[in-house]
Amino acid sequence: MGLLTDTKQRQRLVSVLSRHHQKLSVLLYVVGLVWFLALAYEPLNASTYFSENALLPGLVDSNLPSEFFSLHQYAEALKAEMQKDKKRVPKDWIFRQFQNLGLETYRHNFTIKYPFKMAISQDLVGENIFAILRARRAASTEALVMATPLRAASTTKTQTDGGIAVMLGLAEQFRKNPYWAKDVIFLLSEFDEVGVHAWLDAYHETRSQYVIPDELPGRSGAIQAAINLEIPRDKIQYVNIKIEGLNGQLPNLDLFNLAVRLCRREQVLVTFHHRSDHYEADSWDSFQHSLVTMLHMMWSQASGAPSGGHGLFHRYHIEALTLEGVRFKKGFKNHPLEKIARVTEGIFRSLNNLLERFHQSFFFYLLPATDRYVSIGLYMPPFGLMVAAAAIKISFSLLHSKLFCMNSNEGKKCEKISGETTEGQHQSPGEETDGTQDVSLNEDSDDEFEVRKMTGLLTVTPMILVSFLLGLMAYTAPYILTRFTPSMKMKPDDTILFGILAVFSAALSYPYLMSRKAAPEDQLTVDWRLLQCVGLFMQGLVLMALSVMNISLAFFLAASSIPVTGFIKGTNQRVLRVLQLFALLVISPLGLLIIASLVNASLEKNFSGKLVDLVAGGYEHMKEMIFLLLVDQYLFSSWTYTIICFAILPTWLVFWAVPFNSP
Amino acid sequence: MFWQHTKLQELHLTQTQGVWRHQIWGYPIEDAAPGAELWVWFKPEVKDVDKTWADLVNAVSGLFCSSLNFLDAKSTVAPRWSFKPRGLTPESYAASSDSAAVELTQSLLLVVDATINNNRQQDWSLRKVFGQPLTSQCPLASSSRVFVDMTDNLEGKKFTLSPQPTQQQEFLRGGKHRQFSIYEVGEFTSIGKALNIAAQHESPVQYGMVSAPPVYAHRYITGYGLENGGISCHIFNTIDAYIPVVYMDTLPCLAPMSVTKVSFQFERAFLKWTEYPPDANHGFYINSAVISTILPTASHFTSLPLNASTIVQILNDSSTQFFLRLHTESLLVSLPTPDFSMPYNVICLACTVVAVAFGSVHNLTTRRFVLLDPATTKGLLARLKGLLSFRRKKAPQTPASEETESVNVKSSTEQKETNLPTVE
Repeated sequence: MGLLTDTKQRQRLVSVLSRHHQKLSVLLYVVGLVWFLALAYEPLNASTYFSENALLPGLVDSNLPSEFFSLHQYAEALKAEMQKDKKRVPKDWIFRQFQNLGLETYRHNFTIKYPFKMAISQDLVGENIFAILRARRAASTEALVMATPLRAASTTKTQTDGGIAVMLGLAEQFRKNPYWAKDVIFLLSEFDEVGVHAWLDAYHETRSQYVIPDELPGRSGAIQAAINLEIPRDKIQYVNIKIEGLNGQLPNLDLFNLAVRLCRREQVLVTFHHRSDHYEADSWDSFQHSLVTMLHMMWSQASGAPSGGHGLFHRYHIEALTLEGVRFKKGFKNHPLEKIARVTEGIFRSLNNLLERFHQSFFFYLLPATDRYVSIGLYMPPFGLMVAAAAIKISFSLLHSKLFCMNSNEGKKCEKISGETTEGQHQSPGEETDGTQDVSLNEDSDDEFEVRKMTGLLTVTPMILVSFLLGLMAYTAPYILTRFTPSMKMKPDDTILFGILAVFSAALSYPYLMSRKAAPEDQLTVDWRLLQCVGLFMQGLVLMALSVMNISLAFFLAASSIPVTGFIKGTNQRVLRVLQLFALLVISPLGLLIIASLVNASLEKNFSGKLVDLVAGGYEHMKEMIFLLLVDQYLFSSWTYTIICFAILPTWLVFWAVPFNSP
Repeated sequence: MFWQHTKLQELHLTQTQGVWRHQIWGYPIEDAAPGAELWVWFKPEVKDVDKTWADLVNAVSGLFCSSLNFLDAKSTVAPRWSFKPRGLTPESYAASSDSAAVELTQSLLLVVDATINNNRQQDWSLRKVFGQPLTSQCPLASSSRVFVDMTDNLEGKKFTLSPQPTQQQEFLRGGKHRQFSIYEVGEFTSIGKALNIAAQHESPVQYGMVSAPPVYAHRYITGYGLENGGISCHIFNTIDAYIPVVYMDTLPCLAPMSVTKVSFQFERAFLKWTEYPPDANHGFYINSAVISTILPTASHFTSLPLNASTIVQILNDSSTQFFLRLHTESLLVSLPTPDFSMPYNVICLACTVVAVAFGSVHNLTTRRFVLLDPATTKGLLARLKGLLSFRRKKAPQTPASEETESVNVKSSTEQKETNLPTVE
């Protein structure tokens, strides 16, 4: 506590920090970044374990027959039905099968209103099928969901007919057993996630604007967990587990552990993001492998889009994940459908044991492998360091800003400090006398007052306001633009892309519009340090708030933007300004979107490695990405686009104005 | 006996596993809520109902080995219209006036799905369902009968019963016919035969739509998140008449062939931490709602009227009004639950804060601040030098303990001498 009492010591510390804050900032950022990525290294993360003892995974004996004939009968019959019409799903047949099993079977209709009116003028009508297996012992207060999307034989996505056969086979077996303590709901959704969304909306009687569900004819109690199956009929090479939900929400880690444990028990190869665990622990190779797996997960989580039908459940506090069966290309030992049925049975038997909702284990984590995890307690410190790099800049930039200098009585001293640290800017005598100082010196009357007028917080307020207004514009633009599309005869995704590009380029020119007539050339006449401080402050707030919701998005934003935003400064040198502006453009929301699209294009399986393909693929991906961002926002009320428009873009625009100021 | 002590008029206790699904199964003979339900009419002379109730639930929970004593004021309501006392028959009323005559009705309701493990055949027999046939009848009973509802099987095409029933009886209730096959248990067991009633079905069951009863309900939780929620209850009226219902204490009018939706919103609040049960994350049960109404039709209706004790009494029931009380689903609501490991964390954190803050605050508040004359004070380095030279001189001569003591004394006296102006 010597610091509190000893003013001399404190001053010394402040001056040391003030002199070296640039270096300290760089150090913090680098340490934070390296530490964060190093968390994928095995000794730095933890091994997964079961927190919820009630799950008792794999302790019960399977009740499935050793030769599961009915499962294969269902699979064969369904195959025959699906071959009749490759473009349609035999919904009536599936409905009858569930009904014949003696389950309460219902149809649930819903209507999708297209958010962009041009593509399909008529509303789309979908139909879910669901069947409820009533637990004999319970009063329908709790339920589990087994879901699978209805996909026709001609689908380009993973076939799901195996999943439907598994559901039928298990429904038949489940019904015979008296031990169910929770109802089991078998849900077959049309249009993948949209169907699930409509069903969940109807189940909880919530309403959304574009997906309008009919009243649900039957219900059970509070849903405790959901397993989504995307299982093809045959040739299953491995099971891939998908967990990322809407807005980057994740299921409880216990559920993921449960799925992994039961797959292992049935000797089913299990992967996460199509990557199995590295065989060799604690080596450089395994670190690289784990890091790539973790980055894959973060990349998927950062998008805020659900990676499967399970993603819509999370909002309702229903823990959910998808088991995706992946078909092999050729010559590989395959897992029969029966094994998948056994895994699913095991998961449901375990879930049936639950006494309370999932609450024991982590909801915030990153996974470098299927049996290792990085908890929120581990990843927050390095992330905090990265944000601290910007926070340090705030305090010392503010110390040097004219606002602080004028308000404190030690204005002279402050000048001295800032003079010391910004020596580089004092090299040419011509530059020394322009900007605000110039204005204040040339005015004869009360120059201190004049300087104060140029430095208060009020002077940067218009810029902040304008950047938020531009954010609002970007937010509403797609909706307004797509109303004019029919007359322009353009595709909706093109319209949106060009529209957003237009809004963005308009936003880029706002510092010109705001520059004062009196100032020379295209310069702004505000205190750029203050402006940068406000920007950094906003950035820190956005990043920290985002990190507790979607750490992956926060991490990628922090890692890309802090090196630029922390080190830009007002300048008169044209080259320096152009360089700074270029760096800012790279980390702009649109720049990041372009980079993300290029990364996505290069991650594609059939990517050839040629630059031309990369650019072409990247363009297509970007169009799709923006379109999907908006569709997710309209249909599922995803937050990502809203966050981009109201948090990321305004913050970035504040920084955009900084290099336009003279030093 | 607690019966006299608690001055009861009537006591109804039901304990249920599962829930009765009115929509598919029609009405039961006795409707019961999921879980346990206890309802009681006290005699008018009871002054303090709350206290008597507390005594009663404790006594009953002891008698039935169940935790009914948790039925305290928090989970109890005093309904005004939903529950009516059974109409007292003249005999029992007369008896109760002078001695403690008690009418005891016990009923057991069981739903068995015969198709499970039976290759979708609906065949059933007493032995299959209960494990053994009837070998005797209750020695106190004058008559003991088994009724089999044959209404759906009038032509005998669906299933055949064996052995042949004692008699066929037609019930006429509110214009609706019901056909029953009746077995007199005594007739079979008195001659030493076991009665194993069995039904043989012609074909496997075909599932389809079943006709819904006149009035049924569906209740569920709405909304998500831990801030707000709601409960909705659909009350279905499938007959072509207006039916007034009592929904606990609200009185919507059920229009013909309609669905009435009762819904309300609630705010999820934190409880006091002592009010959470051990399995707080399981959620909290909301008791089933009770719907009471008078049906104008007897379709699907098998309950006993208020003034009858046995089925035989309703053989020819010409009444046009049938009192129905049904219970909806009970619900499970999750409330915001604190992390119960939090107290531990808070204690750790609080201790740390106290340890860190207390030390420094204590230091700052109890220290004496002293103004020193800069001219007389030496620098840190000089003082250190002085101390070292002092040690070098003294160290070889005196033992260590004495030396430090003397140094302390010396330095403190020095301070007293030099620091004349003190500020406290």
